[in-house]
Amino acid sequence: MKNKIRNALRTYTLPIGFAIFAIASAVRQLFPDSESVVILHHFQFIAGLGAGLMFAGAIYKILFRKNKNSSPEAARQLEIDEKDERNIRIKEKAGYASWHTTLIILVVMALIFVFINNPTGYWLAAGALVLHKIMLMIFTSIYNKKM
Amino acid sequence: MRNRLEEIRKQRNITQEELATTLEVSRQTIGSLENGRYNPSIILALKIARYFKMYVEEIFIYEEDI
Repeated sequence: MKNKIRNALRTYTLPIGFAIFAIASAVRQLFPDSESVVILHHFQFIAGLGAGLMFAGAIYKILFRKNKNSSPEAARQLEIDEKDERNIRIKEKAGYASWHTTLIILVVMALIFVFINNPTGYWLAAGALVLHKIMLMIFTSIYNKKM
Repeated sequence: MRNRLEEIRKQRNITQEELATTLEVSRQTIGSLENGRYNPSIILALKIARYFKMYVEEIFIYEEDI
């Protein structure tokens, strides 16, 4: 259980920090005159929190690698965990689920941007959706040839 | 698909950790296989069968939906 928590912290702290930082910064950029909206008021603080998490995640990864080099047993366990087929399957499934969730979020965001009359936001969200479809076609074609 | 992994492993007095180390998978994978939450790849099924010197069909039992 402890290992699970440690692995999760090592794997997800940096990307979650990055996501928070990116989203908060983007919202801040998209709503420059948001001073009157209470929640948006705090997005600078949230971006800072994301940056902090990114920093903590990077430090944790560096310390973990340093520690791993001093313990061959830990290194072997790490290698097993990384190559473990169930873990790989879990990552694939989680990736697929998060991909669907991201699509829904993008659609909702595009709609919100239409309603609040923010063309930049709308085109960014719609562009990301179109880009996603193009990437899907490209990767489908690549894996079709490979498998 | 159900399997007899737990039964066979216990018959031979092998711990989940030992089996996981030999097969180079995590202990959680062995646990999930034993309680039927996870079905192994063909490669892992063959590795398990080879480890116990048995046929795959003796360990993993495929049951078609009726």
